[in-house]
Amino acid sequence: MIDEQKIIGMLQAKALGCLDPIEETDLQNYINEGHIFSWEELGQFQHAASLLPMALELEIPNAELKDRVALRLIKLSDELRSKKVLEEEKLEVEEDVEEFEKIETPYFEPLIEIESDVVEVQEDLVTDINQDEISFNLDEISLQEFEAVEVPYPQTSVFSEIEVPVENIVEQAAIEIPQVEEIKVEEAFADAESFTPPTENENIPDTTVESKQVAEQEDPNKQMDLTKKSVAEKMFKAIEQDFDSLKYQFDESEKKLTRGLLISYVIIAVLLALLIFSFFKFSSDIKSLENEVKSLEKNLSSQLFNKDRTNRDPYFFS
Amino acid sequence: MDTKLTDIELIQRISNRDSKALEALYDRYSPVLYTLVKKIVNDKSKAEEVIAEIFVILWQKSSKIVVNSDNLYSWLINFTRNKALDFIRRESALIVDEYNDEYQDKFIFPNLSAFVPPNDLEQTFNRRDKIYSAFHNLTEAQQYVLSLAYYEGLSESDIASKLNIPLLTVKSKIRVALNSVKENLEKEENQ
Repeated sequence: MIDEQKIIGMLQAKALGCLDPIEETDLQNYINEGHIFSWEELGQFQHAASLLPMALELEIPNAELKDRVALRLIKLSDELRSKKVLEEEKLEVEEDVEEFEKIETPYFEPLIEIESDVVEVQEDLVTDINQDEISFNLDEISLQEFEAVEVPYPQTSVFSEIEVPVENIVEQAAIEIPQVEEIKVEEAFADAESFTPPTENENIPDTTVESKQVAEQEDPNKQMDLTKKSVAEKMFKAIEQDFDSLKYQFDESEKKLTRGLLISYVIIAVLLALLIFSFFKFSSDIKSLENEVKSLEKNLSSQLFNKDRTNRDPYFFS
Repeated sequence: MDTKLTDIELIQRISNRDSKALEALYDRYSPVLYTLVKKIVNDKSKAEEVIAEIFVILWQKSSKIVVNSDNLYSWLINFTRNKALDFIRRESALIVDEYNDEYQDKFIFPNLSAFVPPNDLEQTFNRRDKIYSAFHNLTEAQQYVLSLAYYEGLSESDIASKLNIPLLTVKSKIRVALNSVKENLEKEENQ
């Protein structure tokens, strides 16, 4: 337990910031323990201590110092800005990666096996056929008549969202081709010749009005057609998208394959070149070595020959 | 920038990223802060470096500055003293702790009493003669001990060992010296 008087005696040193570390911790503990502390007196001493620099002879800093401070601040703000930009870019990249990872694999419709009434040819039947009766009369063959087969409409995730009765779709599938009336060329020319341009007084029949009226009469049926068409269009679009995704995947795998092939071709070509080079080099080396051996042999024999001669006839020129 | 703005208004504007306010604060306080730093570090270029750092910190951490009383002057003087002392202690490798935000909050930003009387630079300048006489009325020994404590940052035991005098003598000298300054100032103001 620290004496209160001792604490009061510390206030001046505390205000000047020259308390010993042990006393500093003692004072801090005293305050933290919740004892009555003379904050007001400490404040007075802190105020008095802060006035001490005013007793010094004032010096004005160099004018360049202000510019230096400003420059440092500008640099700092630039650094902060660039850091922020970098962080933002990083975040964007991370977000992109996350989004990319979130992309689910494209949905492919399961292949629907259409059951048909076509009789499968059994392999056993082929063996049963007599080899002599292989030649057959085409007239005797009668093809089995196919019955109309109703293909079940697939309930997939893409199409389940569109609630359209199957009948409408089937009706839609039957595209009506407009019947074009055949017009003979001669009649057409005759019509053209008999055509006289209307005079100014004559009222030109307003065909646009007529067509409008006709359109109005035909409206209800056309609206029905339009809804059917829109559903069909959506279907076709969805199928097209699936085809596109399949096509994209196929293209990708094809690209990879071609790349791999190219790389392997290059490697093989390099290896071949190396082989050819080493073959020629070795063969030339062998040839040169052979030549060297031959020349050495020649030299050796000539030397021996000379030696023999000198040894045999020591007194030839004497 | 309106030069009639108070110190507290200026620091509030600085915390709102007003660079003009920082410039005004620099114009107002740089002479006194520079004088104090130069007295502590004893070198012109080092003093300039410390001053630059101080204003950078003021700009960066203005939102952290807590002035309990209406007295930015005392806060700035104490902050500058702490920063300059830290600078020379680091130079002489007396402090090796990493200078980070935590360290700055604990040892560099002053923790002043909320009862520090309100004051600003203008008031202090007006009382400058009185302050001068209050300090110079002290005995030479008192002045020297105060200088060692305040400008050299020596602790009481450091002063005792430096002057080769008992610790209790140093303690009493410091106590008497600061009490005298305070009393002299009060006397001067009452006159």
